[in-house]
Amino acid sequence: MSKKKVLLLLGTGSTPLMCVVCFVGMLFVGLFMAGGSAPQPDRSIETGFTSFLMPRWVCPSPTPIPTRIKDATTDPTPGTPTAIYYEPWEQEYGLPLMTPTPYYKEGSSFFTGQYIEVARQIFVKMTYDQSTTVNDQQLVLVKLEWKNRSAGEVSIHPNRQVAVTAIKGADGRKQQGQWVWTREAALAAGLPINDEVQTTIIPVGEKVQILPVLIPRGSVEQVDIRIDPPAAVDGQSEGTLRVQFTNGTDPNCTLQEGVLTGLPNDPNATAQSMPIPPGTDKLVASALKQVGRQYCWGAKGYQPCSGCAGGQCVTPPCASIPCFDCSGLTWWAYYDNGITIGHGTSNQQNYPQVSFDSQAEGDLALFTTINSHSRAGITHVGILGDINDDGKMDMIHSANYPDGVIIEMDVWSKRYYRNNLILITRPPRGSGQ
Amino acid sequence: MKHLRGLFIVLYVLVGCSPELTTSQHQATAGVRGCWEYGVPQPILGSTPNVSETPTLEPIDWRTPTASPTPYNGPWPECTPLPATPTRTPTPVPTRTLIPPETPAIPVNPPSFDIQELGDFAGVATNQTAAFAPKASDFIAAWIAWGYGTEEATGDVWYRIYHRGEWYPAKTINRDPVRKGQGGVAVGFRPTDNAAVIAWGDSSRNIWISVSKDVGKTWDDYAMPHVGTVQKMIIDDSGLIHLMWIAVGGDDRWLEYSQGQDTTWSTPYRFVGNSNGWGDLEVVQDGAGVVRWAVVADAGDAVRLYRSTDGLSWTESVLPTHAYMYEEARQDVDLLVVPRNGSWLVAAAWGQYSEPGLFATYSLDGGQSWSTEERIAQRRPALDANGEESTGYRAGYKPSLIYDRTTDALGSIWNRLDAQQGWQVMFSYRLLNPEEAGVGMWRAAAPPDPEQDTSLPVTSHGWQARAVAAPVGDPMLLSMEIRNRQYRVVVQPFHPTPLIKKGTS
Repeated sequence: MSKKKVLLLLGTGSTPLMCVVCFVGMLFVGLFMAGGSAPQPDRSIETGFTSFLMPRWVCPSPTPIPTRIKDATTDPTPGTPTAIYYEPWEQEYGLPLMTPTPYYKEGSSFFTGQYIEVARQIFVKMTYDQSTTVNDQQLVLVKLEWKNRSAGEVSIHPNRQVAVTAIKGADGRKQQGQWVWTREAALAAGLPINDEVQTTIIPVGEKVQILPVLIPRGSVEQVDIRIDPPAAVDGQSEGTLRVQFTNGTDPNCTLQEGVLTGLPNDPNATAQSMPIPPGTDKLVASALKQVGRQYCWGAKGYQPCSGCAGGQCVTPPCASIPCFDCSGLTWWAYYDNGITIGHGTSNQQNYPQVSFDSQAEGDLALFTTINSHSRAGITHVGILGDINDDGKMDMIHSANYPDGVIIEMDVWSKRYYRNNLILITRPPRGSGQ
Repeated sequence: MKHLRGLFIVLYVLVGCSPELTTSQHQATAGVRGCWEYGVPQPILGSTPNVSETPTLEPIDWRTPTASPTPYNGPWPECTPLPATPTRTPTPVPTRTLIPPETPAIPVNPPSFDIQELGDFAGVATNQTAAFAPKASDFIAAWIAWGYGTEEATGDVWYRIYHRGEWYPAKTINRDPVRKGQGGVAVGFRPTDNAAVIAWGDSSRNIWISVSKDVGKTWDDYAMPHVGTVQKMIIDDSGLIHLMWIAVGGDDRWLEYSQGQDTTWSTPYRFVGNSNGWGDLEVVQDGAGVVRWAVVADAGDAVRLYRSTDGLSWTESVLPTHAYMYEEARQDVDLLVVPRNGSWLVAAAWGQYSEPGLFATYSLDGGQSWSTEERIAQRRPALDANGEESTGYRAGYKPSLIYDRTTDALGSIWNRLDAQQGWQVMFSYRLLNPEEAGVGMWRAAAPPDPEQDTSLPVTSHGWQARAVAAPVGDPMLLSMEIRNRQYRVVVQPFHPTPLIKKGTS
């Protein structure tokens, strides 16, 4: 008897319960039905796990968290600006800004305790217990909680595909390696030694598996599930996909476990959560909606970004959509208002220049990221706006990875930006503007 | 006045008639004065005595022994001449004839391993560096990986050692997380005891020298008295460590150099005023001693070469540039100094920040005369990141120079950007034999495609790669490659000779 999954539905739209939030919540319904059709041979049973997508985790929490406002202070030792983050109550202006929770995170590195979609409609949550010591070794019980919502059962070879891959030793230093299921570990854990470690069938529905592993004395830093994709899942290369789990929590999500849902790929699903002050310039408002988004080189909104666009790989790929590079954010601020400007600082520096004294909301501030006398060219751009209406110009910009889209309050009070400013331009805003 | 003049004459005669002090006497004087006599060259810290000389026995002092502090032999800061004292012209840095080793017979069996993945990381792996042990078949590689934990801007300094045919596990040298872009890392082996040495920095840019004599099982960590981002480390035959790092002050960066070991280091030498942190260091042993070479790209548009025989005072010369481009910031500077035909081949290569390009200049006579600036590669992708016509953007070709003795060719591993294919590892070379060389004839190691203005990458593995010179034989390539959104660190042998023999322009 086979089982057939009929429906996995993803809905998007504003959550009515959250008055301050325009974040698009994710409504998901999974419905399983038993079917009577004959099962199709599942190749994955023979070959192990098969994946056709980049693993992902979806945070369902629609509640935005307070923005960590980034500012810079000078480190007295090397004398360099160091990023610091103000807590909301430390902010000297207005209400705490809010950051949207990530729509989803896509990649190969996740935290324990999160349900990860490792193959289409196949989710796994990994946790581990390492409280038992056996002679000079540490017994680790890796717990895999599977939820199979695909059309059929799949298989995994735990003793080959699951391994502790990094530990921290007693000297405080990490070490990579391959520690897998062993007979000794099973005996130490009092678990049966059977064929399931060779091939585990994960039926449609749920399955929990405990995998005992012995490691040297220390603590687990990373556990991998190795998946054998038939081809590269990132479109760039081939090779075993290693889904890596480390301890930690996602700082932007209130429900770490995440939800079992498919990809929210609605290109119109904006995730804005910023309370936009009344009277805010519309260009600035569009940029403010993106605060908290990830920086990805080459990204300008809702198109996938690998960080390697245009042949240059300078950041990790975009883990959630939308994401932006610096000129992608300014491009989006205009595009969101029906105005198309060029992407890239090389284009955005060519619009009419305005003097420093004439700067206005919506203008673009262009910088060099090497010191100003090096003649290194323009490498960064942000959009200017007076967010808190204090008469001092602020800037919203997509700062280099991992900072992402952030606000620089009173931007010209900060030496770094003041010194590195090259010019201010004002793209045309259409008639009447 | 007449009496005063007479006193000066007497003093001058006395000074002139005094016998030259020995080095140990100078050291004793410096110990009392706290500085080194003006104009007198200091001995190189930590240099090994010449064992071929007959040892001199010092007379034994039979007086009551007193507790003696740990002797400090310098280097000392140079004393400031007293006012009204006739100044002596500082002894110029001796421009001795460079004497390459006659027979570079180094008792080493190069490590024999094929392509090897050293580690994989879900975040970003950068700063790859590696070194061979000069007198053993050992190899060490290190890199910094960050961006895979809860705090995305932090990570770890990883290393991996190859010893006696076995790869030891990848481990971190740090205990606390290091912050992106702060500390840097460099590696080497101490020839005197084959200890592995890692110079690395923590999140506060404190520099640590970690030394292991048991293949990384345990480490002795020494805090260096200087602060910065580690750039390059070389350990000479005597075990003296030569370190170059990036010092930061406000928005500016400088390259600095010091020599020493453990916690004893010379006063840092600061190269050109503002360098943005692009530079390289080489240390070679010629017939007369240790010679240090450094190349630095300043914040303007010059590439400067430095040379020192004592590590304390350096001579500077500006390399010929501007043949092709100007007013562009140089970056990714690489330096090569190797013996060739009884002299030294000195070569420097660099990329440029804004307009893509990779350039080089070289000297066949130990830096006395230089070639014109030559173009290794210069191209602009047809399309930029948005599929629009490219107007030029950061390229970062990251050249890595090698010398292939078999074909007498200067080569460069470099990293190409292509609008469609991303980063690729390329190899170009130019023959040095004047009969074959031509002028500025850098050639691609694989035939270029005339339709697409591309040539073949020299390896299928590697997103960005650096060549690691071996004591003998061919170099290794240390690559970072992205596969399934993970950074994998890969090392593999690189054999330039067949590529050069088959290559066409």
